[in-house]
Amino acid sequence: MEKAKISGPQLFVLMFMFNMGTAVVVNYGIGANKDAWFAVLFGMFNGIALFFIYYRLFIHYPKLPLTGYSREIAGKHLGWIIGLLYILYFLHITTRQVRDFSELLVSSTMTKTPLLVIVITFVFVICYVLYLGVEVLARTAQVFIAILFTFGIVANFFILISGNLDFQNLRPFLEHGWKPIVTTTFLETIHFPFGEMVVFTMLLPYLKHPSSVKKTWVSALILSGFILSWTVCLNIAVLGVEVVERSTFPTLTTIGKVNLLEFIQRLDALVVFSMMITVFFKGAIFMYGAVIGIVDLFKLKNHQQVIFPVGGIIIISAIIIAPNFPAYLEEGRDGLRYMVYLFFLIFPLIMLVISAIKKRFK
Amino acid sequence: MKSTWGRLFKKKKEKNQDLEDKVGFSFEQVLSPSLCENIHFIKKTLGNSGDLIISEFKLGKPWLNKSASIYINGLTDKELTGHFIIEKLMADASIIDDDSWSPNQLGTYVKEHILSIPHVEMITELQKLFSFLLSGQTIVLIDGWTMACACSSQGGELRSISEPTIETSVRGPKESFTESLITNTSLVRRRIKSPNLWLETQKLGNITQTQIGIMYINGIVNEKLLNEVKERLNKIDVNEIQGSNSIEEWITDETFTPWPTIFVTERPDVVTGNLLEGRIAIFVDGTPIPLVVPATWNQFFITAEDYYLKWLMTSFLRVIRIVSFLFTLLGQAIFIAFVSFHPELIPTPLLINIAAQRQGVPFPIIFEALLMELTFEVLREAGVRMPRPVGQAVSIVGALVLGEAAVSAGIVSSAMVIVVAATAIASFTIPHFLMTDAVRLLRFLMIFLAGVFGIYGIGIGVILLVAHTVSLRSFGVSYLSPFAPFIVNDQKDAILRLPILFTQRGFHFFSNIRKGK
Amino acid sequence: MQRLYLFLILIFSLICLSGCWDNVELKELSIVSGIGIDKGGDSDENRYSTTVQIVNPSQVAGGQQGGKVQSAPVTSFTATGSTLKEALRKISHKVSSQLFFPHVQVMIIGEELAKEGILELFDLIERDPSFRVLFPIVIVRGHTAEDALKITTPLVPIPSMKIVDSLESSEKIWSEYPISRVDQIIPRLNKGSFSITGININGEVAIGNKTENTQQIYQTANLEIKGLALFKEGKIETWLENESARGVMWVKNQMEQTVVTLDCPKKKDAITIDILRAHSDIKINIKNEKPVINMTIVTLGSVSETQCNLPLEKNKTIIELEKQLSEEIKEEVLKTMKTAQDRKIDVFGFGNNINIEDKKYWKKIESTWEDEIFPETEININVLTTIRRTGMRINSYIE
Repeated sequence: MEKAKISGPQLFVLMFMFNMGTAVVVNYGIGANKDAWFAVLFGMFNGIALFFIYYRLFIHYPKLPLTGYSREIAGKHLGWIIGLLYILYFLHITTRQVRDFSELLVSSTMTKTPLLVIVITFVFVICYVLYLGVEVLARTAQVFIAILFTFGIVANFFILISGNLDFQNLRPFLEHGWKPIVTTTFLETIHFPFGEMVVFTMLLPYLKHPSSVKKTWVSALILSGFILSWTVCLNIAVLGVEVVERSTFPTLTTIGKVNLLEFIQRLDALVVFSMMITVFFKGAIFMYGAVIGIVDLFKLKNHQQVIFPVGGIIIISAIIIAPNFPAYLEEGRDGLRYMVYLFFLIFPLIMLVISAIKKRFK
Repeated sequence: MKSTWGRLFKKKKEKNQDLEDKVGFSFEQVLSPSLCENIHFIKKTLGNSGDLIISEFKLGKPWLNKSASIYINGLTDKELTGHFIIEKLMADASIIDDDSWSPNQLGTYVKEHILSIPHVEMITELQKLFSFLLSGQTIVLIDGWTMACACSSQGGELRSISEPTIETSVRGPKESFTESLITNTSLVRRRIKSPNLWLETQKLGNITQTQIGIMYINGIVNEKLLNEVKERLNKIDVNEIQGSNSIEEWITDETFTPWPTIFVTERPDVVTGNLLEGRIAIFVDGTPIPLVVPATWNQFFITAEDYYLKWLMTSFLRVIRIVSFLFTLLGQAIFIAFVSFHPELIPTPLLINIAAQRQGVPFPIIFEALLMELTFEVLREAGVRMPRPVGQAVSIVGALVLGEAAVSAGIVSSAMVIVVAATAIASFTIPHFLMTDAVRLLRFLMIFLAGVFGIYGIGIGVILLVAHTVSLRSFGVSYLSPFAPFIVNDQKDAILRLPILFTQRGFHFFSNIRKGK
Repeated sequence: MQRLYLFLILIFSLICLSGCWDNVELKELSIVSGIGIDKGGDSDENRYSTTVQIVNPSQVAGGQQGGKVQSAPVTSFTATGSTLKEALRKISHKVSSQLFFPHVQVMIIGEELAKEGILELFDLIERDPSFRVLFPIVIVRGHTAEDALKITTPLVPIPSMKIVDSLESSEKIWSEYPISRVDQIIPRLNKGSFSITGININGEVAIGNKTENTQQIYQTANLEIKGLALFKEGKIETWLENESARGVMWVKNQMEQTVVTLDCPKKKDAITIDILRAHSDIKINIKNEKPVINMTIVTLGSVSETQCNLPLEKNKTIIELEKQLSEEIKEEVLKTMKTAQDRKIDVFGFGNNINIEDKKYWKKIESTWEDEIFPETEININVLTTIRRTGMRINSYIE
């Protein structure tokens, strides 16, 4: 555990960028067709409910990360195993983020570059920043949030005045009823990205003022939820729901449609940059969660020893987890979306119940 | 690998030791009562230097007591030495009209009644004697007395206070520091008449014995910071201190970074402002450019002029500076990235023009960029070295003519020339030369990354750079405050300068520095 | 620590030594400004015949970069293949460098191919990242796309850009034929009916092919935007021209500015009204299980030319003119409607409006909408016009 401390606003910034992650560019929530934006909001509300589980656990054990109090609650050996499972989960999601971003880059602009090169450089950058410590990560986030906001506002502004917007594309509301919304929420939006915030339970012990957790977490959740919903809304309005269903990176296509005054066109770079920033932070936080877990479970001295080896693992896994992009998406659709329930809901809930019972009987 | 490095370092240390022993400057002795012996010793140590002036005379009516005054020609104010020391000694000592005075009494009488110099110190060790003698003080020796009087008579030819050459201003004061430590500290004292402005002096450098002064405002400055600075200065054990740069490299935090972590300036008003923020100024005798620690990144984008203009103008200018900074850093890289990796992202008419220009050029774009960059750097260096009247002409003519000719010959494309020239001009808006140097180096890194990976490379470069900068600390204060960690209050003077109404106490405040974070 | 530096150096050299894959030199790129697709042959191997129009930058760019021989600003090449991508690739052995598609300005489809169906042509454009989807499509009448890409144009050296410019000004000023962009067409491909603007070649292709064509004051061979092709199930059904085409613009709310001529008591088509703004609202009511389309068109105009002496100083005249204008517009729209209904093509997208209005009803009738219900649908058109001004004069000098 480092001696560094993060402040409330820094945590907010980290959480916000984490939530933006890949969701802001990728095909998100489209299972609910024209009501995808609503599914996102619904997922957000569920995320708030989830937060309270993590919050209670945090209050009981304010100085321990998730892997720490899993051992306290479930006993040394079982808790250790649970911690290990979490580490694997974090590593897997980090790999997915890296792979996602590399695929975006290769399929949209740098078509001939081999995947390995982008993966290596990206992971290297993440490792470098994490090596410098979590406080550096938080401060870098503070600097980049300004850049991200600027890009976001500029891009939104141009899309809004480009004349491509047709909100009629979102009507009729509830075209296929409530079922698609509910299925999409519980299969996609509740986990990605709101349930994934469970990784922040590993970072909470670093907070300078633990009392600000509730404010920070919930406000980051709500803000990112609204912005994601708005982005999905925009995409459908500009492109129409069929195109969004079939695209791999709808936001990129949307920004590609902006053509004003003959020279404000082809603004893809803005979206690519934004995604680079957000995926960087998401990947870095997940990797850091895994690293803290490893340091905690294996009782290592400091996190710097394991950063680069873990980076190596990520590089290799990013290449081998899927042979091609449709297989990668399929794995996410068919396998992952059920497994993750274990991590963001079932384990914490069980742990909360057990710890409540323990406290009751003390 | 380790042993090779180790061997290299070891050798150096031994060499140093040798030199020190030969030229060492430590005497354990004290003055002997015999005047002749003392004079002889002093002459011998100084190798009979031609500027060592020893005048012997006799004190007292019976002209019995031999005494001598010693000073180094050029370091002292001769008028002072003549009128207030030698004349006084010769004239007023006539009160001593018998020889019942012991040398001690005589010496004390001389010090307390005769010498009318403001600061006279009695010394016994030869170490101190040489130290004072070589600082420009006059030594008065009396035969039989084991002490000597060191009178402060520093003077000599020094450059007078002139206009600043690097940091000029239109509306502000036009004084700049000189090479004399005392003059410099006095310039600051004139602006801060508070008794809390403290000055601590010490001598560094075994051979050069350069005087160093630390100035700070007690009460504003952070104790930990002060101790850190003093500690680092004390650790310096070197033979020469020439100019503030040598100290800079010894006390700086990290050497492996392009960013300057110590601020330098030649204006007293800038130093004043910095002291009021809780920083510490380090003056080095012989250099007109003191150091200011700790340094933060945005200090290098502020000029003295900012505080003499209206707030709207200042904010505007600062924003322009930061935008040009970004442009200098990334401009060429972006151009290269777009033209060679992502031509689909350039609007069509522009692309056709650029494509037409590149038709005849034989080199790949990176090579062109590096060629132009290096040419510019060479021209810049050449312009600096040439004598003043010719220098300007060379750089302008060189740039224009070379650029034109290169384009016509088909070696480079005109778009590239424009980009290079624009980035060079943008780099001149950065107020501080240390920052410009940093940018010039970083630019090459960015160009390289852009040439290898296109926009992705630029993104990676920016992330690495930001992470590196954010982790820097200058004497314990984070380099990028007040941006990261974000301190709302300090934003009033960070990029935009808000009008005085918003800032309760005036312009200068950096709470981070006062807290020492 | 040493090992770390070693590792870093290894990575660094890995990156440097392996070279840059995506690095392209502009000299190696042939910027394609226009693509033409025609019917190739009858066998599967040469289904499509594609033509590309490549820009010659040194002839087009501003500024003299080494005065070379005056050659044409663009060059065109053709090849055939079984899929579009194959045909495009085959062109590369005639061209000296790599084809670069992101700057395609226009896509021209030959009428013959359009008659057989164009549904399959767009997958490549959507899927390939180097195709930006913002360019317009046009259909060539009576000639092949290959021919259309050979015609030189005055004022704008690159013919593809000239076509786009003509489309834009046509849409803005005359508002007769809309620009149909690829991204607007693609969502409607499967639903069935859509419309694409057409171009004609006037004059001889052989003359148009030469640069002398543009060096004369009057070009004997030129390209003209004319005709609106209506598609059903991806095949051309019919062409609309002039006022009928304009009717589509009125209904789809794409009308920007145009000119309508009205009759004088003594002369036909003697008064010109400038239409400054137009807006159409469509409301659908479902009566007795049948949809009723209520359209309201609101326009603003001003009198710009008269050939008879109307007493324009009287308000009564203006009101008369307004009534006339409304009638005229209504007739145009009705004519268009009739053609569309006769041909069973719902070009206007009324189906979508019904979906928005009442989604349950739409689900029921979706499959039979175009062929059975649409031709019988009742359409009510209400036109509200306002004429505000008469220009710099009130009454004409004509007696």
